[in-house]
Amino acid sequence: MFDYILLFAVALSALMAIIQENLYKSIIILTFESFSLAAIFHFLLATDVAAVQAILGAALLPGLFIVALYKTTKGRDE
Amino acid sequence: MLNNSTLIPLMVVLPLIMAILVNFLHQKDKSVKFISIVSLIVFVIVPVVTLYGVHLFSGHLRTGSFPEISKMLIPEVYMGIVYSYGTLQKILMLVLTIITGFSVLTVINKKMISGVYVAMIFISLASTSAIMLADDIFNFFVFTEFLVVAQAALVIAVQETKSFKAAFKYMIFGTISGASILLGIALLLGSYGLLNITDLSNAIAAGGQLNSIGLSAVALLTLGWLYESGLFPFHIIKSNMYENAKPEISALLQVQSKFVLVAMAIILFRVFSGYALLKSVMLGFAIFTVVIGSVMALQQIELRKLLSYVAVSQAGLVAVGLGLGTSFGIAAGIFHAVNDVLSMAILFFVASFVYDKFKTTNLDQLREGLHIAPLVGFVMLLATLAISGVPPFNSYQSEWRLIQAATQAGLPELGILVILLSVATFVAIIKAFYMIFMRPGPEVEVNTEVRGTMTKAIIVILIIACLGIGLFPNVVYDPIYNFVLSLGV
Amino acid sequence: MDPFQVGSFLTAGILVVTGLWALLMMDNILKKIIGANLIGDGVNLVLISIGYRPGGFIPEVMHHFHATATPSDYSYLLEFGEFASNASYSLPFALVLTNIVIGASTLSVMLALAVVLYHKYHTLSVQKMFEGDE
Repeated sequence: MFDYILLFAVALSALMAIIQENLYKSIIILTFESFSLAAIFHFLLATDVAAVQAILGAALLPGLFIVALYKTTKGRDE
Repeated sequence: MLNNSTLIPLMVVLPLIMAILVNFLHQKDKSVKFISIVSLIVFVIVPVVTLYGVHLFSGHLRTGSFPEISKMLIPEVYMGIVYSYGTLQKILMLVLTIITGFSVLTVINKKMISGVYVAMIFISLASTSAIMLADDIFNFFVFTEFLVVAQAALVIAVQETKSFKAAFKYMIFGTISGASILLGIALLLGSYGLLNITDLSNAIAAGGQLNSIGLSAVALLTLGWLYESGLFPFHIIKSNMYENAKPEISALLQVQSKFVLVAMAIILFRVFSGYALLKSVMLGFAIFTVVIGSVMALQQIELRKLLSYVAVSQAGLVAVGLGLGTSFGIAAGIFHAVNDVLSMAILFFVASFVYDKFKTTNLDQLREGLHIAPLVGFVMLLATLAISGVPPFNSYQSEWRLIQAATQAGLPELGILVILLSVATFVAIIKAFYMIFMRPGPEVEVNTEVRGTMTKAIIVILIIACLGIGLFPNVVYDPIYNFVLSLGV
Repeated sequence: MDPFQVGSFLTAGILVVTGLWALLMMDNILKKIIGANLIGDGVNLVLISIGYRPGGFIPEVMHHFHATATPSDYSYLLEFGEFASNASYSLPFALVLTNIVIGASTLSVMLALAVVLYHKYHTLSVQKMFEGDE
C-alpha cells in the first residue's frame, strides 16, 4: 500500500514543482520528489540505485539549484 | 569471430588520459604545448598500427545463451562490451585525427593557451572515436552525452553572449534527444534482452515483424539521430554552434557531426535491417535539410554563418546517400562524408585566417584581400571548386557516385537535387570569395603581426589531399564499398 | 504484469510528459532546467521498472549463497539457479547509475550557463533573452 502512495506522491509533486510560482518552494518540492523516487527505487528491488539517487537527486542537485537561484535573484550586478 | 585486437581501446582511452593530464597542467603553457604535440602524433599513429578485429572487454567470449531458460531468440550472445574495428573505421579515424591535429596546432599557436580548452578538444575526439568503434548500444549512448557536453564547452569558451545562448539551446535539446535515445534503448532491452548491436540485429531478424514496442524504439532512436547529426528540425541549433565557435574549432565540430551521422545511421540500419520505412523517413528529413540549408546559405552576409549553413546542407546530402538504402547509395554517402569534411575544413581554416588578420568576418566590411594574402585567396578558390563537385577534385567523384546510386535506386529526381545543391553551394561561396578577396574599394584595416604560416601550411596540405583523392578515388572508395557489402544491409 | 510495475510505468510517463512540457513551454529559465531533471527521472524509472521481478529479492549475493563460490569461474552461477531466477534483473541498474551521473553533470553545466546569462540580461525570462534571434 505504501508504495502506491509513493508513486502518487512522485507524480503529484512533479506537477506541483513546475506550477509553483515561487522558485524556492519549487526546489523544495523537487527535493521531496527525488527522495520519494529513491524510495520507489528501493521498492523496485534496486537499493544501490536508490542510494545514488538519494545522494545526487536530493542533496547535490538541490544544492546547486539553490546556489544558482541565490545568484540570480539577489541581483549582484558585476 | 575475428581476431582479438588489443590496441583498439587505446583510441578512446589515450585521448581521455591526455585530456585529464592537459587539464591538470592548465596554466603551464610550455608543458601543454609539448604534451599536445606528442599526443597528436600518437593519436595519428594508433589507427594506422592497429589490426582489424574486435576487442572483447574483460575477455568475455561469445557464449551460449540457453534459449529455453532465457527466452532469447538467438543461440549465442556476446557476454560483455565489444568494440569492432574494420576498414571503414580506419579511414574515418585517420581523417578525424588528422583534422583534430590541425585544429589543435592552430589553437596552441596563439599567444594564450588554455589547458582546459585543449582538454575539451581531446574529450570530443575520444567520444567520436568511441561512437564509431562501439558495438554496444549503451556505450554508444554514453559517449553521445559526453560529446554534447564537450562541444557545448568548446562553444562556451568563446565567452560572448551569442555563444552562451547557442550552447544553452544546444544542451536543452540535447537533453530531449538523449532521453529519447535512452528510452529507445530501454524498449529494445525490455523486448529482446540484449545490448550488443550484432546480437540485436540477429535477434530482430529472427523475431519476425517488429511489434509496436519495436516501432516506438525505431522512432525514438531516429529522433536522436536527427539531433546528433544536425538534420531538419535541429539544423538551426547545429548551425548556431558552428557559427559561434572559433572557426578552427568549427572545422573540428563539423567533422565530428558528420562522422556521428554516418556511425549512427549504420547502427540503425544494422539493428532494424528489415524495416524499409526507416530509410524513407531518413531520406525525407535529409532532403528537407538539403533544401533549407542551401536556401539559407544563399542569403547570408557573414562568412561564418554562410559556411555553417553550407556545412548543414552538405550533411543533409550525406544523409540522402545513406537514406537511399542500397549498398551503392550508402557507400557513396560515406565517401561523400569523407570528401566533404576535408573541403569544409579548408574553408573554415580560411575563415579563421580572415578572422585573425582582418578582425572581422562580415562580408560587407571586407575588400581587396588578394594582394594582402594571395596564397589564402588562391586556396579558397580551389576549395570552392572542390566543394562544389568540379573535377579533378574529390567531391566530383563522390557526387557522381551519389547521382548514379540515386538513378539505380529508381529516384533520378534526387540526382537533380544533388546538382542543384552543388550549384547553390558554388554560388554562395564564390560570392564570399569575391567579397573578401577581389572586390575593389577602400583599404581595410589589417592586423599586421598575424603571419598565419601554420594556417597556410594546413590548408595547402588539405587541398593537396583533396586533389589526391579526386585523382585516385578508388584508394578510399573501394574499402568503404567492401565494408558496406559485408554489413549486408 | 504486476500492478505495481504498471503503476510505475504510468508514473514514469507522467514524469516525462511533465518534464517535456516544462522544458518547452515555461518561460523561466530555471523551470526549464527543472523540466530537464524531471525527464531524466522519468527515463530512469522506466529502466528500473523493466528489471523488476514481483516477489523477488534484491540481487546482492547473500551470505548462504556465497559459501563455496570462487569469483573467477562461472560454474557457481548454475548451482545458484535459484538465485538467478528469483532476483531482479540487474543489467538496467548499471545503465541507470551511469545515466544519473550524466544527468547531474549536464544539469550543473546548464545551471552555470543560466547564471551567466542572468548576469548579462538581468532577467530570468527566456522570451526577453532570445528576443532578437531568428
